[in-house]
Amino acid sequence: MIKRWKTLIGRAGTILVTAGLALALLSAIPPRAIEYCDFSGTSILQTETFSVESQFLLTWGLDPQRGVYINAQGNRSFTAYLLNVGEKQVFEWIMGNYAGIQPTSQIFTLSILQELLTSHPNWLELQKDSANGQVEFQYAPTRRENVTLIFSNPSTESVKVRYNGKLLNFIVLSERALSPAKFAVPIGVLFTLPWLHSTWRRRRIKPEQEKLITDASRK
Amino acid sequence: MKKGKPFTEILGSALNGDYKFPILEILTFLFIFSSFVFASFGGFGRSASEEYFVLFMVTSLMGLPLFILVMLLLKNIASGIGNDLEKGIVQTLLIYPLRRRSILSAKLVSAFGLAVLLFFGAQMSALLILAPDMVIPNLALVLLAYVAGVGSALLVASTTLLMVLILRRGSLAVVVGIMLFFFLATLGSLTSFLATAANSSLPLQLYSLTTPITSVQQYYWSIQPDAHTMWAPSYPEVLIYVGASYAITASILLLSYLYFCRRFNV
Repeated sequence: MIKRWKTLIGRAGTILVTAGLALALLSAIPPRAIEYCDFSGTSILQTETFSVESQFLLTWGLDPQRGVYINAQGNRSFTAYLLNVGEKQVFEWIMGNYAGIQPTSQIFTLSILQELLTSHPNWLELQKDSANGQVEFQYAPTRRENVTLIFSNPSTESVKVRYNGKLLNFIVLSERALSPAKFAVPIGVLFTLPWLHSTWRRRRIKPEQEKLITDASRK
Repeated sequence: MKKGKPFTEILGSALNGDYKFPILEILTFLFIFSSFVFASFGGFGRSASEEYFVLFMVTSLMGLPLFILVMLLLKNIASGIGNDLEKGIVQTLLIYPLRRRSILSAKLVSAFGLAVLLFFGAQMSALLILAPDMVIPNLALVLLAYVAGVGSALLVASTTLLMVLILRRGSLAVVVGIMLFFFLATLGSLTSFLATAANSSLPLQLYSLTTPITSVQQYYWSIQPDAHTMWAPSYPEVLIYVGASYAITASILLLSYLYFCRRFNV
């Protein structure tokens, strides 16, 4: 007879393995681009400047199952930022802290961005430096939020950045589901092994022998 | 023999019967998979408070998994209690010097306890993976939504249990249980229509006694700016409706216990 605790831990293990496999399967489902929800733009950034990209679709708000994909290419290296606040909030902060800036302006000196990120470090969701003049990423937040896309040019020469993006529908962001699955499956297998071993042994032992073992364990 | 041993033995046997390998594993898979697939966060560009969206998310996540939970509860009652009654296993157990309420409690812990635990575990995992920044700051609301959401499922299950004990037939009672669940779901749309037609919140209030999530939804809809709702309950009223729904369920369970302990003849 298999001890009760072995069965209990074994079944907890099989549940963990199943949960892990379900999450792994969910992470393998690719995102789907939302129809008519793509956008593009071009920014020419002078030395040590940054641009706040006004994109109507990004002001609609993202959520854990609605993310964004961005692909940007520049003729030199540049940095892309994604802030977890709407562009309205970013512009308000800039106008509030730097008097004399044109309200219609979208390109500012880099020191303003550094100041902004120093005073609101929690606004920065993502920062990507371009490799070979290209930045590519997809992002989905862990709550409902607006996002702002920013490109900066920290170099001493001007950069032309062309980008395109689209809104994506996710079941769940792949890495978010895979991380718990990576823990759940091995731990589950570890829990299941003693139970599987006992079950396998039990099937091999003849019923008479099993009765002897049961009697002996009772004594 | 230790005092708690017969209870543990019956519970172990009931768990083994209700959740044979791989039933539990398939259910876990279904609960987790459907929780993610049916999640929704309230659509584009809608302006409302975060609490509104949290409630929207939780109720959307509960959709199909709650249906699976009800089916699981009914299956456990039918096969775990109904079949045992039909085959005379419960009657055999009653011959032994065991307390009747221990037998029923062990069966109920197996039928209800593990199923609800599994449902809640899968749902919370999905929520914490998908939207931890929405769930953790609003944990009280999430828990209230689950307590209210599961209320109707438990009401249907406890009514089915009472019918199984009286009729001593699992299959028939389960059919009635499924019909009751669908009737309650249909009643939801009907009460909204009736409330609007009669310009009265009474249908919604009555419906909240069986499906308390309605009162929670009405409360969070009503506190939105520019909201037009038929019924705007206060938060304490919401808690009263949730409590009343559970009190009805508890009374039906109590009736089941009383019937099983005093009127159930071997």
